[in-house]
Amino acid sequence: MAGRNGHRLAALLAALIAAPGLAMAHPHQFITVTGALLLDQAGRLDALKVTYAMDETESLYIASEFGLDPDGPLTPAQARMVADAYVEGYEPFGWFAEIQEGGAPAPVARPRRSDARMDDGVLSIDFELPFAAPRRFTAPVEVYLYDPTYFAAIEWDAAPTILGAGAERCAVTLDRFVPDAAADRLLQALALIPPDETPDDPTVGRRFADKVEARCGDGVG
Amino acid sequence: MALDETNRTSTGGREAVPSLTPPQGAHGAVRATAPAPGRIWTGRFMRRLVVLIGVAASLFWALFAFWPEIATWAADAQRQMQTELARAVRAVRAGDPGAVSLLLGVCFLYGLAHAAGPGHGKLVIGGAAATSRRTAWRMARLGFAASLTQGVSAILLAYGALGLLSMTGRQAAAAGEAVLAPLSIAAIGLVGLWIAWGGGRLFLAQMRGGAAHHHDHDHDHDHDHDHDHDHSRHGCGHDHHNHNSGAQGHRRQHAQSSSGACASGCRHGPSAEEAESAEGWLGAMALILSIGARPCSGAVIVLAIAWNFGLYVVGALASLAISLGVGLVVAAVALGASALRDAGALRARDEDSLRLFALVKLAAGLTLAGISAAVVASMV
Repeated sequence: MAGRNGHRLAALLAALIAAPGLAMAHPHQFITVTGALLLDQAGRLDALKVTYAMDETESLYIASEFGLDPDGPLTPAQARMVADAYVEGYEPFGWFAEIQEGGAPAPVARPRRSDARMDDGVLSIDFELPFAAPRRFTAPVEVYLYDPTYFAAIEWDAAPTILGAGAERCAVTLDRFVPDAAADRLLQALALIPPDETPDDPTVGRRFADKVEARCGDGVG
Repeated sequence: MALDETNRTSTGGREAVPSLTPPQGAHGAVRATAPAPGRIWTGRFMRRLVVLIGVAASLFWALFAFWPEIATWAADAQRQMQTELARAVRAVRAGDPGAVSLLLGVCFLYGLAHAAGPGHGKLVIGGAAATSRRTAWRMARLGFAASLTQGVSAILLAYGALGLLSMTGRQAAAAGEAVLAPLSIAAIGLVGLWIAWGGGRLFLAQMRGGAAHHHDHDHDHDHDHDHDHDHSRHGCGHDHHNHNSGAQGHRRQHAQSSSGACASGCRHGPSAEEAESAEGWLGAMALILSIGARPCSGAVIVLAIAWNFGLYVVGALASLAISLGVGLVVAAVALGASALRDAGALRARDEDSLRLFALVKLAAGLTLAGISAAVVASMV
């Protein structure tokens, strides 16, 4: 059998017996993102601001584990506790952000201004990801938000905005991930992985990431 | 059933294997002239075999072809149901009137969606029902019971892990996968081997011609046994059969009577009853274990949430409601597999059907065991 069909057959056979239900399948969480690219006074790219909104099941589960009221609101102390927990928990994964400028990595520092809130059963975490050094923004900037292990699926709610000095000269586009046949096969394989296990490819989540591209300059806007 | 005396001959002082009359009486069923050993691949048999292989291949092809759509649909439906489930739990926690009923209804639907996707329970019950002589409803009840067991195992796992071991819900679900999944998969392998063993013995019996002496006692035991058989007419001295003793007694006695040569010198060989031992209580227990030992992870998370909010009874009821939904789908699969079996006339007692049934059992059992082994190998 051809390799493609072989993988598909293997996934089918394994799923028939191994899947205790797709609740165990990767991804286990669904995060919806809103955000903005922040420019400093000099028009340099200073930070990426994001809000990660958890799905309602995850929100309820976290509320039950942390002793929170799932209908909100959180007390300031609760918000601090939850925000700190998420910032710390996401650190090994680079807070789910991969940013490039002109094709080169644009490293980020530890998040700042983190906060959490609970609105109508949805838990949201806000923070700003400052660049290790402000970027001159002379080349296109690409932003990919993804959980490398694909435990969580991350999707932009809408293209981020650009805020700050000179933002009117900038433009942002959002290219959503569109599954193809290969991605479908990969998803079927991932659907068999229990939550406590990591896929063979530790950066498999990148495969499913939306692409945000921002440009600034005279030719934009 | 009665012996066809006209076929009794004498060969060297021993009675030849007698042939039996066509179906008669409440048990229906037995007929047949024993084929000469090695002369089993008759044209009619081969035609039925080809049709069966064709049907099996078509079903598998359909599953293969629509697999991505099935998996995607099940995942989407389950995600939607999870959201509704979370809202229902919040409503219960808020004390909304009718919220518990709403939650249980959502859990039931979640169970249906959960079971509509791929899963081990449907594979096992489908294989078992297609290769069993049990009635469709009996297999459906068995599948339903296994699903309810799954709900109970989720309660024990979640509440035990959270209450006694102070685990989180995700840790409990992961522990369930780490410990109970291998147990379930191993049990699936055992069920497969058991079915294959029964099929192999039955086939060998057919090859040797011993199966011509089948008694049709492998009927469903849902009804009373207040009827008599005069097995002495077989010439084998089966007067020890007492069907008034109920299903267990019947089966026990028959197992004794089918153990090989009996006092009168008749050779039984491996009997259909022996070969189909997977249908006994041990096989049923293995089947229930293979399905029920591995709890639905979604149910474990719901139970953990309920536990954390102090909704202990509601959580347990929610888990059972999920298993109820799962059980209906699993039972439907059992009915469908039984219907396919009956459409192929695999339960008939003519020699062709017995041989075909033996081959189907062998193939299905080996398939189950093979998949189980492959999954175990991938886990190691």
